Amino acid sequence: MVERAPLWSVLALPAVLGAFALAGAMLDATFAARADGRRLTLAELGAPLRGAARLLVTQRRTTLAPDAVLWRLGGGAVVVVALLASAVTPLGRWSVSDLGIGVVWWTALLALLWVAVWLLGWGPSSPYALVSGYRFVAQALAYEMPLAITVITVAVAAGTLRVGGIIAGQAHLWYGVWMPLALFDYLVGALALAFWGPFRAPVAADTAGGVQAELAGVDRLVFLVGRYLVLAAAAAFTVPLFLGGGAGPLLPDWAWTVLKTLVVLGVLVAARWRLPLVRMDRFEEWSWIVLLPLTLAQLFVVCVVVLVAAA
Amino acid sequence: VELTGRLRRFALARAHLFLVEAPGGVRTRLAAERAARERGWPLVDSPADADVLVVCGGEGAAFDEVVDQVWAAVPAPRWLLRLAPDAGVDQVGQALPDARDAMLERPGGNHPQLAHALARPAAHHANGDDHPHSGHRHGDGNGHGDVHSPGDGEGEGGHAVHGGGMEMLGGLTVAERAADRDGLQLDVLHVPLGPALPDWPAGLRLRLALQGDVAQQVELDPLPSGEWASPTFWDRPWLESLAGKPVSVRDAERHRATAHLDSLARLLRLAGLAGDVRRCRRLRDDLLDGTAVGQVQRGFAPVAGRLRHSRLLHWSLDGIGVLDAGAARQLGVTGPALRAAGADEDLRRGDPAYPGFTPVVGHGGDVTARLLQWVGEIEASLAMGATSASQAMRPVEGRHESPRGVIGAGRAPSVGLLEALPRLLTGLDLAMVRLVVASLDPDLAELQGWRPLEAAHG
Repeated sequence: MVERAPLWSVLALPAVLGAFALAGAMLDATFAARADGRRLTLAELGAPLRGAARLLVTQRRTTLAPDAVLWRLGGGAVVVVALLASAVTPLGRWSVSDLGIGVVWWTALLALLWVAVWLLGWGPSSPYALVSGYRFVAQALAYEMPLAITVITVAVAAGTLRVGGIIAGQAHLWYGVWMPLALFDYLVGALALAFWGPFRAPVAADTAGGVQAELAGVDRLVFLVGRYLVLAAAAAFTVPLFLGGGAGPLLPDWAWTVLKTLVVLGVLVAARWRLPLVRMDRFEEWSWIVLLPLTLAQLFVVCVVVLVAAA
Repeated sequence: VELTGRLRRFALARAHLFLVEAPGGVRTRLAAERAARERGWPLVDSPADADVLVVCGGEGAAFDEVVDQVWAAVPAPRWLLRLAPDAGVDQVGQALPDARDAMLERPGGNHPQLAHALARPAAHHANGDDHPHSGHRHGDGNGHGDVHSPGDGEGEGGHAVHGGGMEMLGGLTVAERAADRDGLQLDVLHVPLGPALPDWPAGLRLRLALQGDVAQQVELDPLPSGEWASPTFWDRPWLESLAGKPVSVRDAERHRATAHLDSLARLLRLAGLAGDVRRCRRLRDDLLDGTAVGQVQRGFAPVAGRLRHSRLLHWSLDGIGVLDAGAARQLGVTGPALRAAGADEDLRRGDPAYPGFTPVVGHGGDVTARLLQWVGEIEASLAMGATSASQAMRPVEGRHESPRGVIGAGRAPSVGLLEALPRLLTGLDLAMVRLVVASLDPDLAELQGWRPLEAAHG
């Protein structure tokens, strides 16, 4: 079903993922305007674009005794990781590369965020940024295991690590429907790895913006774009894993993919406006004591179902 | 050039604001927050993301130093806007676009970059002056002590840290080592919190010894108190009533609800409820504007419902910064912070202008309890503000129940709140420190002439 798109799709990928990221940023801006009681005008919708232009015309900034190379590397890595990971995410029937190990590729690349965000915290030699970089590592300890096992659960159900195969496995029933716990798990993981909404502690107000506290000008722009790209990448990957890929009546495959991605993205963005920050130690505890066993139980059930179906 | 100019005008049409509030500058901050909200100008968390540095009230050498240091961290184009503590809504609403336009004309800004305030990391504070944590006090009495030697700048607004004459790395002090609570040898960083932090009591500065993100030691070090503007805006109706001017229950309760809504918005911002922060600020501004109380009640009801029933919120805040009734009384804490611990002490009971008054009483005395206490008291005050006749309130034994507690005799209510901090904060991580401070929200403008006691350190 999923086929490899021509080589030029490598160039299309940043544009498509960037469009989703922009949609996320615009939706976020509309939530802000609504909560503030401002009328929703074109200027409100365009706030993210204006913000990007602003960062292009403002001065970059450095700090006293920074680890400049690692600091800038961290910001750039966020963007690169999101783009590379999305190479295996299909848009309708096309995928930049439907690797045989697609889900492993995606998970492994997004695990590189650990390094990227930590470097952003380490770089400026600022205690707030440093503390926030470590917050992300602590958060990753909580979300990474359940997320990885969830993705494995889906792969077990489909009997393949290939994203195209996983979509084919949902021809009759979406995995999101018969594995609701895995879908929930995945969405929690998606929010946490994009440090968004209840998991935004690494960039929270209490530490003056956390890892972004010292970023200005184009460096800040790179980081912000990267963060929205990660959010978009996480939302987009929900579609092949849990929502049947591009399958759907009437509309073409690519339109269904876009539609489903936007819905998931909307849910993730809305979470930021409705849910409070989760306390890190509580999340850590809940994740290991409640979420992880449940995730393993889900994996066990799926394994049994697969074996019974095969027999 | 023309194109660049137009791009710049487009890009900076909505200038990002970083607000620094001096004690006594509340009204100006409220006006600035309101103008920013109506225009859709973002209020940012760190000076690195700011275009216009808005200073609300405040004068004096120590405060100027804070402004210089924050200014050093603002990237160009930038502008410094100093607003008088009594600037009105219209005045501030006009000053903001003026500042933006001026900034577009002169991107370099209107304030010199001072040598002693070189751009440090917005939160890194280190210098070589060597006083150990206990001995020397900064900023006591008049003037600003002796700590502001050249080179002791940093951006976020805190000041020098007790470096203890340590090794320096490019001008920054390298962390020292000390045993943590489990006896492990860990790095210690000395970091001041405040006074130029958003959602932070104006003029408050804490000196933390951080191991990782845990505050192992907390000292109070507020800005010198000679600089407060006189009587705080939040206490005004009660101070007026004490001075013999008749103030109606309706007006006083309206003012109380406004004060609590402001405190609540600041706490919610740290708790991460982005939507309700903005709603609370809006309701607060509506009350200041003279909007009918009934309308504000309708606006607040869904917010209150969410705060009461959000299990995720309670799960995250429960058990932090517990101040039980006994400890609160011992520290001289009154008002909502005491009632949140289960005590039903409220002077309004004894005031004949409040017939049949029953205080709102919480339980637990933690951050959740204090948050819900504000929610309950806002609802109660709005209800009284909507129905009470214009009867004048009367002091009870020369005292009144103000938003932060009993005023009129003895110490100002914020003194107790402030002195509770070192004990409550020691051993908490940075996120919790911010939450606990916001949940007590001392108003330093109440503290004329107060200075921290040595005994008050944690």
